[in-house]
Amino acid sequence: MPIPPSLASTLLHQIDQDQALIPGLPNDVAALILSFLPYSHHCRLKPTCKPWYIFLSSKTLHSLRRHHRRRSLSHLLCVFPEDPHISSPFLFDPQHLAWRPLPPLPCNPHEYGLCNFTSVSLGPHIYVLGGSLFDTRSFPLDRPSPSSSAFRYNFLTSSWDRLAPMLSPRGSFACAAIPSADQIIVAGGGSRHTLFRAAGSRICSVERYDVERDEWEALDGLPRFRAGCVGFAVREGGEEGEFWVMGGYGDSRTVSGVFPVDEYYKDALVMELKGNGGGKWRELGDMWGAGETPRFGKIVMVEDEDGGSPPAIFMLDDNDILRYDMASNRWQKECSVPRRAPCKSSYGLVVLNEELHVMTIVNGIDSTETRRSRQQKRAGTLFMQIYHPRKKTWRCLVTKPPFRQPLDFSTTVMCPIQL
Amino acid sequence: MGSTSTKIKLRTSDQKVFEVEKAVAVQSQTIKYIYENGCPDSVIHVHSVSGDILSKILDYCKKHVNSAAGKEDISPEELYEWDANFVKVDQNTLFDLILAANCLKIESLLDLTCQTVANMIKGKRPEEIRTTFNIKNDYTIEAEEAVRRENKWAFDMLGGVGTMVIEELADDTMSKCVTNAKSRVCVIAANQIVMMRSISKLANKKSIDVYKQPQNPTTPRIKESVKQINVGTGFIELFFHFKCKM
Repeated sequence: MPIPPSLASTLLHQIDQDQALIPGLPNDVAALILSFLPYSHHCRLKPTCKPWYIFLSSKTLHSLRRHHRRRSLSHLLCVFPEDPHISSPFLFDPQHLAWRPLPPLPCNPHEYGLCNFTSVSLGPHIYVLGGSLFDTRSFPLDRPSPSSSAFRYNFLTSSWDRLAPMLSPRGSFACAAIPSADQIIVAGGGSRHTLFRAAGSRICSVERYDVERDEWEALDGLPRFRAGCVGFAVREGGEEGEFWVMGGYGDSRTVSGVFPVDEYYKDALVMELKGNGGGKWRELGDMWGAGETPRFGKIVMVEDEDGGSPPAIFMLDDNDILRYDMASNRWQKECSVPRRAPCKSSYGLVVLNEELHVMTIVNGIDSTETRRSRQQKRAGTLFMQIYHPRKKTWRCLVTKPPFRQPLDFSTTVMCPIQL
Repeated sequence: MGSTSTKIKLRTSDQKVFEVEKAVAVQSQTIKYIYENGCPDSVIHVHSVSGDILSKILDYCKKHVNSAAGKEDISPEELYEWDANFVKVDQNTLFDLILAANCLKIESLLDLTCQTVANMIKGKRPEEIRTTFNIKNDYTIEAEEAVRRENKWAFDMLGGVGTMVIEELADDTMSKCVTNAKSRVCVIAANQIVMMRSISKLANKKSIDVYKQPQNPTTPRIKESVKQINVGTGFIELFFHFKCKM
């Protein structure tokens, strides 16, 4: 909720340049002290005095935290439980177990039911790109169409900005942020909606977004169309060198002449990023051998913050964690999730602070399942099992999310961000 | 070995002279710069630092240089504890240490002292911060209320909502903790509860059962003490920071 304009203007007029943040210390040292505070604590300290309010809401604090004290950045998770136009996304701080709602996306009266969008964080901003939605202006009404819109959340003004739309509309695509060049790359995608488990188009186009110029540029397309794929940018020596795309589905065939079934891709593709312009795609071949059973699950990448070693890529498939070996293009089993989820629910997988977070909802009751009208909707508890790839240990965290419905991890979009 | 250590003389604002080894003194970037660019033999003046503070700072530098060079047999955890004890001083001394570390440009000491002050700020409410740091409250009551309400973070409290941080648990103990957490406030801590302030409108709970895990993991948990929390005016904040090994 942005501050009322009357309060903001009175505050700015009354601030005296010589007012000390902490009496007894010069302002630059006091600023350094305040920059050590975790992000979730900033808001509760703003009522201390007006200079603190101004400083804690300012851009200087954010840039001080990013550039000087990288290790004290708070690792937060942005959770989009449903269509972000209607229900607010939430920011979650796992270290202090704190939740904060963000304002919903600006509502478009013609579009509803947005899902399968991608959320990525680049610097101190969250981007929401694409997705699949229903457009009331389209005919026929019950066919979902892909969306090309792009939004960015600005934490300083607490508002969503609409950015230049993508060249081709898409949902369920591979997306990666390139922090060193301030760009976002998207690849593939389609129009599949979560209401329909099949159907939907697939495309093969690849685009790159430049944050400073606010424009999308088409790059070399994928060899074959694919949707539902995962993408990540691999760093070498401080700079992003390659963009990888894994998995996804392409053609579909029908079983018994009736049921459409997707043909899942078993391979990975790599695009070189260095040396201006989009590079060519290099096919790595199938990740599963001829006799092996391919496994399809959520794939995430854990980066090595200090550089040096290549990133570790993990897949979570049905209680097993698999690690990808770049040299041999194969997956090996790393370990199993210690506590299994109840059979109906699926896992949420996200990487925060170089650790794998496997999330399930325990004891959640979906209100549509019960007939008793007085049954209170219970969002259940969010049970997170956290794996540290280097130490190879598990730990767990339990928290009560502030949602009214239990989270459905097959459709919830989550995005880690560092503030 | 001993003949290679050069000594540097430092004179403080109150005219005290300290003679220290070069390796210890050049932990300070300012002294290092002056030494390398100016007067290697004569005394270096550190005007803004008093004798007591400089002697504490030199203790710190010496400890860190010795542990890094391996002269003292000290593990990282012990060094961390030594640092924690080093900053257990009164606020004025702490501020003097910060100012001196800033002036002498000793980055690790500056980080340590600033983090200490940040930890002092982290657990407190605005009123307490104002008294501790002598900050004037320049808000009107309405303005303060408006600021308090905006952008609120909801901190997940232990009381009644079952939040715990558990490390390296076996599967059966994990399930016990999860079920117990919902029904009652059940805190399992191997370390002390570091900070405790209260926000518990939801729980109406005035007491917490604290279980302390004994060293031997096979003996069952013992209930150590029951702490009373006084429900003060309005909200009380509850922060728990603890690790637990089972």
